Amino acid sequence: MGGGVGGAAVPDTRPGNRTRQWRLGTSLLVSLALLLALLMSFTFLTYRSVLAERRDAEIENAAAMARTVAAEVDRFIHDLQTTTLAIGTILGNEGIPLDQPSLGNYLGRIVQDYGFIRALFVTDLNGHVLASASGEGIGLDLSDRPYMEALFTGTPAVWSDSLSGIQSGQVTVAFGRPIPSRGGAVRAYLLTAFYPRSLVARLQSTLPDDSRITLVDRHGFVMHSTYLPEISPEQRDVSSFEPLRNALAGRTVILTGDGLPISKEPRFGAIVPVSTTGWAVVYTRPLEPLEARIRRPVIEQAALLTVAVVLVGLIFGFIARRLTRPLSTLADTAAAIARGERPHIPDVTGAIETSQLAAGMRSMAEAVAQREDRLQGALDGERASREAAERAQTRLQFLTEASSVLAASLDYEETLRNVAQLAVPSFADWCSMDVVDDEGKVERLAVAHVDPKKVDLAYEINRRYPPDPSGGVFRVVRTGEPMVVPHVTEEMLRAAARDDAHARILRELGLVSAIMAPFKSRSGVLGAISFVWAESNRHYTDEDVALALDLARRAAVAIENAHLYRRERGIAETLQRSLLRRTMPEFPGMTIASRYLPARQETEIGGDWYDAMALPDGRIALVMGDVAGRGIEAAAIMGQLQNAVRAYALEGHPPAVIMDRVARLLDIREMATLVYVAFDPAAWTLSYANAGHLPPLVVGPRGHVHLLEGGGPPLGSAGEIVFHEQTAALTPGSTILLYTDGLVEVRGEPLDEGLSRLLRTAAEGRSDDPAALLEHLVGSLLGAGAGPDDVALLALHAAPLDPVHLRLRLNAVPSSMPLLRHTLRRWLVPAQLAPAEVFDITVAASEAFSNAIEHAYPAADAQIEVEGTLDGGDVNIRVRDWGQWRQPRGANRGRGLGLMRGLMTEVRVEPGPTGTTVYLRKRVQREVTA
Amino acid sequence: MTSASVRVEERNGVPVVIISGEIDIVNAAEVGGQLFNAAPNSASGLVMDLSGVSYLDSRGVHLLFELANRLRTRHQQLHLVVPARAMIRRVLVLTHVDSVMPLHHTADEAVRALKSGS
Repeated sequence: MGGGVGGAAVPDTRPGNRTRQWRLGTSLLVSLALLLALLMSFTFLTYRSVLAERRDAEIENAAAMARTVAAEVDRFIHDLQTTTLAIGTILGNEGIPLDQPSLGNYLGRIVQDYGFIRALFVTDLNGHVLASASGEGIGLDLSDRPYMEALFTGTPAVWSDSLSGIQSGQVTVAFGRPIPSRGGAVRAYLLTAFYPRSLVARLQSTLPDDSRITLVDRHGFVMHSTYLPEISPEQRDVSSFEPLRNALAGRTVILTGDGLPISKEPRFGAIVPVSTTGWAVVYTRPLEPLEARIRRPVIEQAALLTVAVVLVGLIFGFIARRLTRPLSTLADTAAAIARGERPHIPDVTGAIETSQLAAGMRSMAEAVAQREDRLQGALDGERASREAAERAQTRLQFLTEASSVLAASLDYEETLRNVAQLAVPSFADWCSMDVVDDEGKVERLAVAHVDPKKVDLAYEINRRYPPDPSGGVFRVVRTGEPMVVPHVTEEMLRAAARDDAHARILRELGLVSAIMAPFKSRSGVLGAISFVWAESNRHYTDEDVALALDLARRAAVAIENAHLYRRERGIAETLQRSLLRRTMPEFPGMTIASRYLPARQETEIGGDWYDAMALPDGRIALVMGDVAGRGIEAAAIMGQLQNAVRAYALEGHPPAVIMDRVARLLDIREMATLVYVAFDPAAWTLSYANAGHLPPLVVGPRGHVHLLEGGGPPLGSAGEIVFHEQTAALTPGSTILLYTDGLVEVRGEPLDEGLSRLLRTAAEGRSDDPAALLEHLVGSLLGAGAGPDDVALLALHAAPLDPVHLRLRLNAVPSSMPLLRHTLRRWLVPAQLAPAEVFDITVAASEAFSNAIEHAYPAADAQIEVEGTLDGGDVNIRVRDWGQWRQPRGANRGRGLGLMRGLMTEVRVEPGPTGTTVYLRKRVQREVTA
Repeated sequence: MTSASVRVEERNGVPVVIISGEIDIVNAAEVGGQLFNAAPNSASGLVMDLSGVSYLDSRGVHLLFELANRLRTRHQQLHLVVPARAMIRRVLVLTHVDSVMPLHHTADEAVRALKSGS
């Protein structure tokens, strides 16, 4: 308990937690069930004892009845014995003849009087019937009957066993005695017979309906049974029945429910012996009616009990419900209070005690609520100060992050967008960036909101309602003064709104507070940042304003730096662009390709450069250099180097001299490599000089590769350097490749490996298409792009000219003329023409070309086509332009045509509407080597 | 690019301009300027040694005529040196340059001719 806060006192209303607790209703139900079971078992026990008692009484009763029946049987036997004695006494008189006529009627009368006697007859001493009551059977010999045999031996009276009736076939019992004469001698025998059925039927009539009597003889044979009147002979023998044997032995036996073996149901009663004859009388009654009689009241009693218990249960249940319902409601409420909720205490109806409990709980809830409110107040105060501290922390963190973002990159547009994103939602719901562009216009650079849909909405509003150029950000940018709106009021919104719809939209945005801070720099206001609180419903404080101004100052510095850097970078890039010639000079039969890949993750331009030019003597120069360092300084050195090389090269100096002069001319402090290769297409030779640059590569027409080795240290190295010229022959169809170290250098790897990789890769590439070769090299060696260093590539493929057919398209400018001359010489000299003939054709073609330039047309990109065919002993030249033919003017102008005619065998000028064609033919003395 | 180099020597008080290379429409004007300045006012004329010129077309011819005209206004003569086997000789003959200014086989011959005033 100690130290437990609030929840420890909450009662656990869930069942089955700890020990099982039963609801009141459940306990009631269980108690009632137990009570019912108890009462029921009591009733049952009572029933059992009553049943036993009643049975005992009934059995006793039955035994009495049995004894009465036995007494009746005994009396009947006695009567019969007395009667026969009396008849015998009468018939003892010797005067009475013993024949049917004399006795028939007398005997018949006696039978009629007694009723139960079936037959009465007299036999002679030999057992022959003398007379009978019915008058039947006279003369019948009964001597073989056991009872007759007993009489013959002098027995005073004899009872037969049960017999089969002579005529009826029914069970019959006979009684015989001798008829003594006066003298005492036996005169005859008197015999009576009766049906036990009749006797029993007479007894039965006085007894209860469900009682049954069975008469059993001394051997245990059933003489008759009212229970089973039509008993079969097999069933008659019940001598093995133990109680019966006891009875035949002379004892009265009580049957408590087992009856005789012939009975099919529990019966009770008694077996009583008949002493005179040794018979037994069995008296039984069924047990079932007895039990049923007792059971019914017990069932009625049980039903009554059940009804009573259920009624009591219902009443109890109702009372319990009245109690438990409000109690559980109050328990729920108490739990809610404990959870810190403020529930309504229900007005409970029920017992007075529950109402009291409800009242108590109400005051408890109020007390708890009051205490909570006090605590909450204290907590709120604490939270407010904590939040203030957190806000300060957030501000500081935002400023730190924003500052590092601003300092991280010179791409200020992206940077400002990132800062705007950083501001939401910790410092503003909305943050926008506006910058002043080159033309002085205020341009919205970024709008940030946590929800991108809202950003779209902001742009949409700005599009529909362009902001007032005299207010808001425009004013901040114009004046350079920040604008702070701690509380946006309805009046402000109305004033700013263009119309009702606009006002509604502004209201829906829910603007609460705003700061706009200018990006002030030495060169003026560069833009502004705006922070707006809206749905967060917060207000900007003085601290926030200080932060906004601080951030705006930093942004201004970042923008200014970026502008400065861009200007510098722009200059450097322009310089480099001018150094990296995009359009290469064209030479018939030669293809030049170049690539420049700027370094990855470098903002400043690198120091790689290249150049290609036609030399005055018809050679072609390829130049490549790499200046250490980057940016505008490197670009400046590159420019100087390129100009110097170009100037000396065009003066026609050999490579080593050019190198030497460049080194002397330029006081280069930075390390700079330089390679210069001059290719003479007429002689198929290369002459080159190398100042510390990677060796040029030559790919032969069949894929054989080799490096142009040799050279000196780079420019800018200490000491006097002497450059040597190297020469090499070039197989027609080869490609010369110049490259910078970015192509082959991999950090941490010897340069040799890079070079051998380059050689392998170059050998796989196409040697007849320099652009494809460069593509292949870049793709294989660099993959995605340049690595940490810039890469420059320059390739020249030199193919021999077609000896029979020459076709050139040259720009219609004077500077094309040397190329024309050199190409013609390249074509004609190998064709075994005399030098004078080569000269004549060259001069004539140049005159035609010159005319075409001068008169043809002034278009800047105009071209002139020169075609030559070698046809046996004729050289045909066709110079064609697409301009307007004009007659040569003045003496000098006409001199060209004269020269052509003088030098060539045939000259034909064909002016046409779409251009002019000059045909030149010269018959030559070729030494045709077949 | 066409390149020609121009060197000026003096032999026996006569300025001799030795040109080598090619002369065409590209560099004719440049070469012409250098040539004209090579002849001082005091000199009686100018010898142009074209032995080293491997190419010359109507532009070069035009240059020669122009130069000759300008020298004539100063009463100066222009003598050319063109070896017998020089290929440009046919151009000079075809354009009738030889009818306006004398052609010599060697520079000495030209200097001598100029000095003698022939």
